[in-house]
Amino acid sequence: MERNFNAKKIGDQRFSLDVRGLTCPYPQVLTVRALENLSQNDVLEVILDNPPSVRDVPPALKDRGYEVLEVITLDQNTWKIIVQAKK
Amino acid sequence: MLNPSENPIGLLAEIGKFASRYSLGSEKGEGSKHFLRIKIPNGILTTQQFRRIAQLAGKYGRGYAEATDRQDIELHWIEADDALSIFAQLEEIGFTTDRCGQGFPGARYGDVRNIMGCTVAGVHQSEVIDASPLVKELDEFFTGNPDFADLPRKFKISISDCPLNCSAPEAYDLSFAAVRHPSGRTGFIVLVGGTTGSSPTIAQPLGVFVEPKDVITVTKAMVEIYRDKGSRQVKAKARFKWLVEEWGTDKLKKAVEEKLGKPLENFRLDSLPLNDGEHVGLNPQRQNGYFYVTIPILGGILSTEKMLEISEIAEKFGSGDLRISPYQNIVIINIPERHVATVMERLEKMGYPMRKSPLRWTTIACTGGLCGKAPESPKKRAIEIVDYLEERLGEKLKDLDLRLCISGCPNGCSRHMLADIGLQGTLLTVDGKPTPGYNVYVARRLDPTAKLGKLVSKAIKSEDVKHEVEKLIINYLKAKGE
Repeated sequence: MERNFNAKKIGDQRFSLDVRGLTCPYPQVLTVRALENLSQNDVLEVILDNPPSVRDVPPALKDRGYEVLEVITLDQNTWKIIVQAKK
Repeated sequence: MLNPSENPIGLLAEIGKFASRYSLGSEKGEGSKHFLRIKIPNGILTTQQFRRIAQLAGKYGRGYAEATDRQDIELHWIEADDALSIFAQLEEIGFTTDRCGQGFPGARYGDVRNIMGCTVAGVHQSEVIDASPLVKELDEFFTGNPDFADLPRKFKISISDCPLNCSAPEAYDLSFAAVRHPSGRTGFIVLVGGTTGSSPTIAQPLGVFVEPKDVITVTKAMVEIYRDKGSRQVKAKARFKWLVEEWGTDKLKKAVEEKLGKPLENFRLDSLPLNDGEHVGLNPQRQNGYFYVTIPILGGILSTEKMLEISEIAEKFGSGDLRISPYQNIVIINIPERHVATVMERLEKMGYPMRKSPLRWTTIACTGGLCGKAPESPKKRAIEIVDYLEERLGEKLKDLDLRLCISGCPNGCSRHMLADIGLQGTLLTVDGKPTPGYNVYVARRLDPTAKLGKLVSKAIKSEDVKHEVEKLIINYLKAKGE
């Protein structure tokens, strides 16, 4: 696979992770791993296009103590989950 | 702390390794969020592999598993956090999963699903050809192949090689059904554009005869055509059947010929090869002195314990080789004649009634209770109906040749519109409350004019549907003079 699915720094304490094209469980697994590697108060924006993951990832993050700040619909096929890395 | 812009090497390596061959599916019934559909090409597996799947079910899936009517094994209640570990263990035993791209909006990320074949390929006494090596070769070609990772929708293939056409060639996008050509050669006719979904369609013959050596190239050509020419505009119109309908079989045949660089051989049968039932019970193999036994796993419901015990029986009294059937049953093959009685006794003791009605083998039911689309569990209803019919009709059912298929919703995962008696789950209103029920369809043996189910009873309450089925069977037996 050529894509590397790394979180990219997009601003001060702000990172973006693009998991479009991935089905369960990959969006969740990659998001959790990215959050584990961020510092407190960093914010991660996860961009995804798989509705089952849009449904499942936010509660899975909440279960781990992360704060899901917002789930935004970008267009009819794309969503963004904004998560606070602080536990 | 790791810099998140750096590659967390282990994880990304695993994602890269697995993403093209493994995924979880989403569901929302009975507290399960994810299922795992393990592809078992041609339904062929060893007891060693079956044991490992049993152990995975025990460790990650509440000790529960299901044999599906497309020869997969499904596990439920899978946690996303466990998935990579499960994928690694499946890889060790040589299996992959569906990629479950249907969750995406739009027509994309479709994959070639488990390739079906005759349950008893290679051991059936009157098979035309043993097509299982072709199934294996096709599976190896398509699995994880990046050129076929983004079809408009899923693509289902079956290859039939027994007189029963047990792998249901009429039901899928592309099927090969073995035939003997009048010239004496053996090969396949090709069917295209079948589906069991909400617009069920019987596959149409392409009007050609394909020799076994050309099955692989014809299949590749067909899937390429679907990938490149199938509609991606509207998801609901993106299955292969819509392309077949738009183009017609002549244009499709020409497109395949262009890809092959040679003409296909024209050939038509007088009638379509349709699924005609299951390899029920105990049967002699083509290998003299050996038998296979099909265990009636009604609804395909398995447990870790049952799977381990079946494995032990197949190892002790057979060759350690098993099959999953398109009727959600398990088959033990290569049982020497001297062990047959012991095997039958052991299976009876396990709770599999080997001498009851054939309906126990030819009833299938979808996983609707777990997937969450059905108003109730079709599998539990299937068990209730068959138990009831056996109690009521007893010996009258002993030679019954009907297929009863129960789907929880119009998606028709149990091929109910292609069955002799098909039940489709629905919600009705009783005393102002939503109540589970079924629409009842008949076709084929119950209505020889219909290849697709005709609605005969609408919105029957679930607990009453067994009475409807009973009436249909009694009338059928009367008409047959039994």
